[in-house]
Amino acid sequence: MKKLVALVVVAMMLSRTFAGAMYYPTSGDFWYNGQWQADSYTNWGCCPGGWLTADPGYEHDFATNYNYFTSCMTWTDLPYAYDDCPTAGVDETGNLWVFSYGSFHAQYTVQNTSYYGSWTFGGGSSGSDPYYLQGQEVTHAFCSGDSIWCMGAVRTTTLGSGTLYWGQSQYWTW
Amino acid sequence: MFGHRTVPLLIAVLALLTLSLAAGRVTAQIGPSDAAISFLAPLGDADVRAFVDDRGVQLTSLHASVLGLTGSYRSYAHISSAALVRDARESTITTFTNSLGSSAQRLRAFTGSNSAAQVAGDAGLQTQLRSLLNIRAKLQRAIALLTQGTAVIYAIDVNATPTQLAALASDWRVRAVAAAGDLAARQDLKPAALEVIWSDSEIDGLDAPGLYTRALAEGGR
Repeated sequence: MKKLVALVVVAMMLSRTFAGAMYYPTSGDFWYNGQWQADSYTNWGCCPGGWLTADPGYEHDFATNYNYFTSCMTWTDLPYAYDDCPTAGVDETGNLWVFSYGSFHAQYTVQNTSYYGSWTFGGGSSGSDPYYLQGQEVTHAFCSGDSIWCMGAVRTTTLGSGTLYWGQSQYWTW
Repeated sequence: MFGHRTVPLLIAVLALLTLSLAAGRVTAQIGPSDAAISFLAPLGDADVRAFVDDRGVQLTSLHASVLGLTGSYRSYAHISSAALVRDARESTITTFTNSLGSSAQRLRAFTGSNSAAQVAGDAGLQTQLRSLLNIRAKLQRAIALLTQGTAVIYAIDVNATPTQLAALASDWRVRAVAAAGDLAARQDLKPAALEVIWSDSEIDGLDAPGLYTRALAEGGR
């Protein structure tokens, strides 16, 4: 309980110190090409920060139905970038798998700068599938170095969700 | 040879068999591969193919870097190393080409909601626009490099026996070999030299009107 109180106090101090600072991108967008590819631009605005951990990471999580995929590929230009396709499906128990890219050291994101990231899948197709796009603060939870297998979730926010319709592109912003 | 009722039944059985085999292929690849291998410097596609094929190990993922863009390609199906590295490069070129199209959409959205005067008076908007143009330049330049066959693979994941891993580790191009259970050894696969923030010097040198003019030209307003 003491740890919880301390965590809340620290979080309150951080939120006062960095008014407007967010651990997830304050603006961004999502584009889907109607087939196997989606990309997303992320921007932390004036004030990247508000992290709960000293060496924070950020993960851009795209969750969708894995059933018809035979391959997964991600790319990003985030600083200290990582691509999480090899971990997709390891912890998930349902049909929604999380395909992610991110940054091992999100404190190096630069204010007002837009960053690129993309997901590409191979395999068959489905008529429609739900998806969720989430921003997640992560930390080096399982080992101290930069490895996709080291990163553990700290907190998560949903940036958007919807349905992927095969043959229909879509674009939205937050 | 088969009666009227037998044929649909056979088709259904074959369909189920195909589906279960496909599912088996996918589930067989879930979870960490046996080991991750990082290289001292990025290898080309042919070198990676030979590296795994000569030792008889199965390639499951590859990790690549070009111009500060970092990517990974993971196959959930058992495919040859030749098919995996070819698919990864071709998929990357296709992805970046498609993303060039969507980057123009972002530029149109930006100039549609911000006037030239607003951008001139707001350093934050200038930074944002500069980064949007740099993403586009980066994708264009990366497509050219990938099409030329530039070596970009800095690490791979494989399924292999301990004996095979020992043989791989003795290769002079290998920086580290880490078994799946050895989290500490699986760290820092990417060489530090690849941690770059790439930008186009011409775009970096543009003033606010120059940025806006270029955005209008490249966004195709």
